[in-house]
Amino acid sequence: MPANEEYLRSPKLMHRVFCGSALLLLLTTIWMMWADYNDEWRTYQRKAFHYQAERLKARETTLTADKQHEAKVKELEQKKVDATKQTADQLAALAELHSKFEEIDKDKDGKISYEDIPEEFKVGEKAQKFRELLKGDFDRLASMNPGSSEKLLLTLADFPTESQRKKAVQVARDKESNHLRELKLERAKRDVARADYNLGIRDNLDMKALEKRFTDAESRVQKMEVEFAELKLQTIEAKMSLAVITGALDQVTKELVAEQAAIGLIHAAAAKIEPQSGTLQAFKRSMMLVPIIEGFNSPERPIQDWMPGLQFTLGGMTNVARFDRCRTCHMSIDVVDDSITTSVAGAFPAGKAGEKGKFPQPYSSHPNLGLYLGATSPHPLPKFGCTVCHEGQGSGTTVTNASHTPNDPVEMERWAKDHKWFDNHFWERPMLPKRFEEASCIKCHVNVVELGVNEKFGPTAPKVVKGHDLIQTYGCFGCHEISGYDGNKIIGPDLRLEPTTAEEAAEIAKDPLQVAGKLRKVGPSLRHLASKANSGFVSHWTEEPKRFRPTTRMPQFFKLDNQSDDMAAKYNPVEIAAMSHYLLTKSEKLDTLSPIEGYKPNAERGRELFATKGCVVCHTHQDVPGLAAEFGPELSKVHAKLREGKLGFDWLYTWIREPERHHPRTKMPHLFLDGEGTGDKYVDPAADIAAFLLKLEGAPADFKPTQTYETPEVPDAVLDELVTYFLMKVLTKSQVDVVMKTGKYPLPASVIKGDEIELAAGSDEDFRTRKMSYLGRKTISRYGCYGCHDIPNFEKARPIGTALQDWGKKDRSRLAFEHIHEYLHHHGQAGLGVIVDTVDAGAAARLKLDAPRGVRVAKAKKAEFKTDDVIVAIDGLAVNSMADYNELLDRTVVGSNVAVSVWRNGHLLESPIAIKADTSMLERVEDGISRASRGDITNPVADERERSAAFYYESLTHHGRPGFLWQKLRQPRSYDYKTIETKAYDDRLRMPKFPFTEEEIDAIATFVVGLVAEPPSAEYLYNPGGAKGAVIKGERLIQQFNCSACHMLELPKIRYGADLESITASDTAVEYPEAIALLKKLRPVQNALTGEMKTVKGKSLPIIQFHGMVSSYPDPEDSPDEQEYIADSWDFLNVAGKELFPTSKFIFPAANLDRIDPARGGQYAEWLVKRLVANQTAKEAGLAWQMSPPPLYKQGTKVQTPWLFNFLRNPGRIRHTTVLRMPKFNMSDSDAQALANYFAAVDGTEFPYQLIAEREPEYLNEKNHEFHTAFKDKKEGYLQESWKMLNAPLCIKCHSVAGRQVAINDPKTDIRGPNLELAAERLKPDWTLLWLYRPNWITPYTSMPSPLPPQQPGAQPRFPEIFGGDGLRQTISLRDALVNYYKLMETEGKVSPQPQPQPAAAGGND
Amino acid sequence: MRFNRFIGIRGTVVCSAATLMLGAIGCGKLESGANSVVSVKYLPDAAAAPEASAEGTPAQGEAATAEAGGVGTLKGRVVYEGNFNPLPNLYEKGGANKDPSVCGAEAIPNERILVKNGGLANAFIYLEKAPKGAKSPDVTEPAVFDQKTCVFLPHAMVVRTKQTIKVLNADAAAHNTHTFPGKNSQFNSVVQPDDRVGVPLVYTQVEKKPFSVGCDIHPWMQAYHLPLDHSFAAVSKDDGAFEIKDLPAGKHEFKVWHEAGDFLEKSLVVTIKPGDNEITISVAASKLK
Repeated sequence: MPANEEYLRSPKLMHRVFCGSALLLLLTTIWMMWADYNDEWRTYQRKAFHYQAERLKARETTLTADKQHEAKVKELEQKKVDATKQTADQLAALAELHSKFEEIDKDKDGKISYEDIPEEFKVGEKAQKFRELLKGDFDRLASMNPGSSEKLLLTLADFPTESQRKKAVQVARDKESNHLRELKLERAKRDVARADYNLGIRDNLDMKALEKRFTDAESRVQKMEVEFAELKLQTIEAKMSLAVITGALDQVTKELVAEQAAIGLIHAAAAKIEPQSGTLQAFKRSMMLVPIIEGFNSPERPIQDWMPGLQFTLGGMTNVARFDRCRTCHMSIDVVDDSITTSVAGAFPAGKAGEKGKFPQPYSSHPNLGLYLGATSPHPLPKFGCTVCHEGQGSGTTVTNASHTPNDPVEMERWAKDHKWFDNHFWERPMLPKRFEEASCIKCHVNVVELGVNEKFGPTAPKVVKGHDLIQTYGCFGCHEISGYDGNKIIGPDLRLEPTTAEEAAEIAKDPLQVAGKLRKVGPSLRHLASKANSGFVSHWTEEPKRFRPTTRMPQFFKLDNQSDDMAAKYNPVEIAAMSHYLLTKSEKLDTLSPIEGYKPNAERGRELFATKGCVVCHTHQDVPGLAAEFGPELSKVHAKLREGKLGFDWLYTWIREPERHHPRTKMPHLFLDGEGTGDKYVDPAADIAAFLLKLEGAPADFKPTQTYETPEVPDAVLDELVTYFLMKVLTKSQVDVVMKTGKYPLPASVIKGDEIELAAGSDEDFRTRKMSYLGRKTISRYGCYGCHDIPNFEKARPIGTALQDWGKKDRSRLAFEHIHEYLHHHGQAGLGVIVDTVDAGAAARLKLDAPRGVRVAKAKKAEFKTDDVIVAIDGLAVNSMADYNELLDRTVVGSNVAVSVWRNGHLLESPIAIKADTSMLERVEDGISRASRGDITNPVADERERSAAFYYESLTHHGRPGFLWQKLRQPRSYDYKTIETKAYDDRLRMPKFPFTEEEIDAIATFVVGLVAEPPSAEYLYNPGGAKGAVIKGERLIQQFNCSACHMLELPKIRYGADLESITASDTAVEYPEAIALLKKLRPVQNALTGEMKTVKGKSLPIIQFHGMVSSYPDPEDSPDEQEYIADSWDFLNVAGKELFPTSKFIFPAANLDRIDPARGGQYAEWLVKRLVANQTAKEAGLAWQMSPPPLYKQGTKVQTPWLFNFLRNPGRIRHTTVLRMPKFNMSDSDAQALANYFAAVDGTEFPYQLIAEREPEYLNEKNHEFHTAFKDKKEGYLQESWKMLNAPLCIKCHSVAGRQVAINDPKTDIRGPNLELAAERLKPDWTLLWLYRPNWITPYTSMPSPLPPQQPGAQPRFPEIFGGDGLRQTISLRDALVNYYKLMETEGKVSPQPQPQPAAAGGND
Repeated sequence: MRFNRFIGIRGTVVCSAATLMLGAIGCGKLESGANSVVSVKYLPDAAAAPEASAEGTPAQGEAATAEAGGVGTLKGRVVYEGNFNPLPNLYEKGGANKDPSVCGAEAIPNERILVKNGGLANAFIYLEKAPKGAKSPDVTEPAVFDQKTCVFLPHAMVVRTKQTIKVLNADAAAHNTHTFPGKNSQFNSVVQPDDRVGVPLVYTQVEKKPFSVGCDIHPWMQAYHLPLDHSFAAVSKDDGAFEIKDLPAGKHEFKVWHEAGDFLEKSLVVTIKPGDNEITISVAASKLK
């Protein structure tokens, strides 16, 4: 065979192969292009475009159909027609006039100007003739252009057509510029003449000629200047003539265009997105969308936002700028509804698919455009993008690629079905699920508090704030430091302990690269423990704190999951005993106080004092119900824990009276509970309160605790075993043997660094004591007790837990999940083995319960329970609802015994049922998911609870961080499941169990997940200075010192639908105008109208709102028609044009109420007022308010910041009416400064310094001058006269002033005002003056009357010899005397007591 | 007697023809010894007629409403049931420590419970609302509220809304008169020593029950005011007697209030017949605290 082609291959076959592969390549190419084109996002964009077009069309329809618009357009069109006609008429009239002019003077070349008309035609008889001649044309023209001068009209008549007029303008302008040129020349000539003249003087020439030359030149210039001005005017007139005829038409045309512009724009926008089919526009758009071509300039395209300032770490290697393509699918996310002008709202409100007017994701707008993305929001889209808050893969353009994260497994399943969603493990920063959406806020908002309290936006991220607060309250940072600093650079929220010792604080202050922590230890100091409790109680408490106090925040360290084996059973009691041994033997002596000898404390009085002296602000006690304060511990059982006899009493007495003796950094304030009265009436409030708390009936020495505790047995063998075990870690076997045998430690104390120092120290102590101390100290070190408590010898100890500042990005492989999955299969859920349901009224009656409370056992799986048992309490805490039941169970320790109080067969079982709370977590989750996805759970709280549990469980089984954290907080030791068998005893987990509910854990997780220690660039960090910074710092301190429990910081806000007719404006005639002006300055008028409406009985009423207090609530005994609210406004209001002073009363029917937003803070004050009225301490609520902590409303306008600083540091007595005093908090100088600044900053006033102008010579000189001008015969100065006023028999009635003490009849009932000496340093002058004008404008309930208000004609004059009895001058002088008080005391001195007024001196001014 | 000075209203007396015909008491004649001298005009009140008649108050269409049943006077007495030991003075002569030369000039009595001949003084007996159709004439003369030796005069008074009260001071020391009303604005004003011109005080709102008036400078001073927009109210005199005139015949629900016992009766139903009607209101001692 020839070696031709066919020998090698078959061409035919080859052609087929070639053809086939070519086709294949073509198809592949087409498929490739198609695949490239057919992106997921295109579907979303098309639909989004469609929604946008629909919305635009709908708006166009609405706007066009709008009656007002329609009417307006009609009106304008009519106007246009009219204007057109008018213009035409005018032009015709002009033309006519022009022709008449031409007739008058044919000699002229077709032009008549005003000047050409003979003077006699302009005025007088001839003018009349001229007008007649024009047959009224002229008048017609004049009437058409009102305001135009005759001359202008005549000019018009000269140029009847527009082109002529334009030309006339040109001519006038030319004339003007030509003239100017000549004028300039003349000016130059004059200047030359002047220069020559000057030179002539120098050269002694003949001045006459020179002078004449200059004068001539000057007069020429002058003449021409006048002419030039005239020409200029002519140009202007010519220009005016251009506009005068067509002006009206132009105007109306413009208006019409403007009216239709909005619709036109909308129409154009809609047509651009969805052009009408068949049009050129539609064709163009369809062409742009053709594959391949669309690559050039298609409306459908990925939309990206690039934020170079916001970087993130990619794969732990390099920092890259964020590049978000989220808007590719979420196209309408930042579209603002521009039809609403009053607020910022999204054009596409979010909602479920199918809901009318709502749009599902990804088509909806952001739900809060006012705060996020909007151009005016603090987080504008171009600057922030999306992923800095939401995380996820910004470059991804599919649901899965963008790393969306479902909020719960139910949602996850739906996504998997709808979007083929799967968990993308390869993106390290998946999007935060909805439950964690607030977590990112703390990246920039490192101070956190502004996310909870925000004047403008309200609480914007309440959950992360809650998590932050829980960590602060429970003191997690004692073991787990959360450092907000890398060196001195801010990287996140800072939660760290403050330096324990002064030396440490000084050292940190010196180091520029260190910032000291700020938080105090949350537990009580144990430094003086021996003076408070004995070893039995300490052991009892430590083993299981909630056994003694169910509400305690102290976590449980023992009797947990990994301590149920024999080894723990043997060791734990010994460890506990050793710990209490250590704490009590190392306890330092406390100098206690005692009540005076022989004082018999009165427990009953103590109970009242406990309420009125403010103890209930922070503490609850079962005998003083009403306020559920949780700030401090519950105190119902104090009598069961203290040491017996006088020791225990004195400790408590000292603690109540001078808490700082026990611990200088305690949060418990000094309450100034000093003894009052003398002799038989002597009352020692601290002793009485102590007696109340101790249930003491006799003398302090009689105190006997109501409970005794056994000190645990410590078998020597176990003690030795443990000591040996721990010693083996630092010594050799033979050394240990020697120590245990001889009791001698091989090293001297000076070289021992660890806890072993206890074995070496104190040779005088026997070896067993030393062993106990060693084991105790070792145990405290191991469990980190010092993280919360101040313990001797642990001042320098470091936190034992993992630092959490970057836990949110912790590598998941470094989390020890161990056998958690297996554990949760069988355990992990605190259940009682019963199925329960709610007890409703019917069930309560059937079960003979007094009221629906507790939960009913519907199905009992365990023998301990029976159907129809009602669980009324768990571990001593009442169960009132299903929510309580779930919450209390959550707080219990899984696997340990729970005491369940049960109502059975119509009575309560004598002793609670003890049952192990333990069921399978998996079962719960499976049950929860299936019920949630079926929609069986109707209660949204319960639904979220189950979904949340399922989410965390899912996360846990997939080794997610949130799941790990969740289980760690629920059951910290469960990670030791089946590992304790193989690990060393001291390797066991030590994290204690905190009494958190699942909701609380969710909040804490939100905060911790957000701790990523990725500081944004400085421009993003929100750490403002100035007033904003002062507010943030202040809010933090207010929380820390619980200020708002006593004081109202914001008054309640009352809103109701008002009948505006019935509201009468305040009578301004009865006030000094100066007083009203000052009121407006200090309390700017607030617009009370909200713009919202409320329909009451078929009538639509405008809702008004104001800050104030409700003085009377609807009386249920009244008929529904008569039920009404009475409220006092504290604001200066403007209600639809009527101005109402503060204190105005609003009385309105109950049905009109919209809502009352409760006050911010002041719950105690409100409670105390009610109590004081109820027990008749106060006759009226107003008087009771004067006995209670005052609202701090607009405090910044009232007090001087430096004074407030001093007051906070050391609060002296101001008011004498109060039943309690402002306590002294252990506040540092910087805290006090920050708080003082806060009050000024929130009210927008100057801080930290204020100028007191009324003390300056400028002011006083002015006043002196004015005074002497008005009162010529007065010899003394203005201030002297003012001092007289202040010392007149007016203020002294209630205030001590100028060294004179106010007379007191009965200290209990007398209203005694603050000592006026305080005013100068304390009060701001403006505020003081307003107070003197009208005290109840500032504090409606005050007893202080207006001292010198305007008088009616004929009234009896007041103090006529001072300032001539002028009330206004007198009032101002009072203020000035107060402001200059110290100076006047110095110069004028104490005023000797007044001579007794003589009753005979009627009509005088005593 | 001292109430008369303050409560007695010597305004214009208006009597409708109908009431004249029926010979209603109080028309055309002023009684100086009465608690309150008023006469009432009954207006035709078509709208109110049907329901009003159901309640038994006179109301008949166009003619003056009182025509149907006539008008009566309620004369009564508030009686203290039990043994009364007069309350000790708040301060004996010279005992008050504030402005002693003025307030100490006389003993300051405790006026909380005053009983004379078994009659309880200072009880308020009033209708919350005027009977349908009854319109009391406006009062033009101001009421007087005085303060003497640091005691308010009178201790209890009914005033009319919009009526001016002249707050006077007969003492040589300043007082600050401070009201604690429910619906009206608080009044808190210094009244100068020996001010016989007085500071005007006007209530604009009707109150549901009397409220206290005090002086913050002299905290023992205490009085009670009740502003109403009609004249069907009285305060019991020293001996417990009171009189309310011109009541339309029919059933009325009175309220009886006393400072020491709050509401003694929230709804005291009295059927008024034309002419005089007698009533005794007994108050158990235990009700007053």
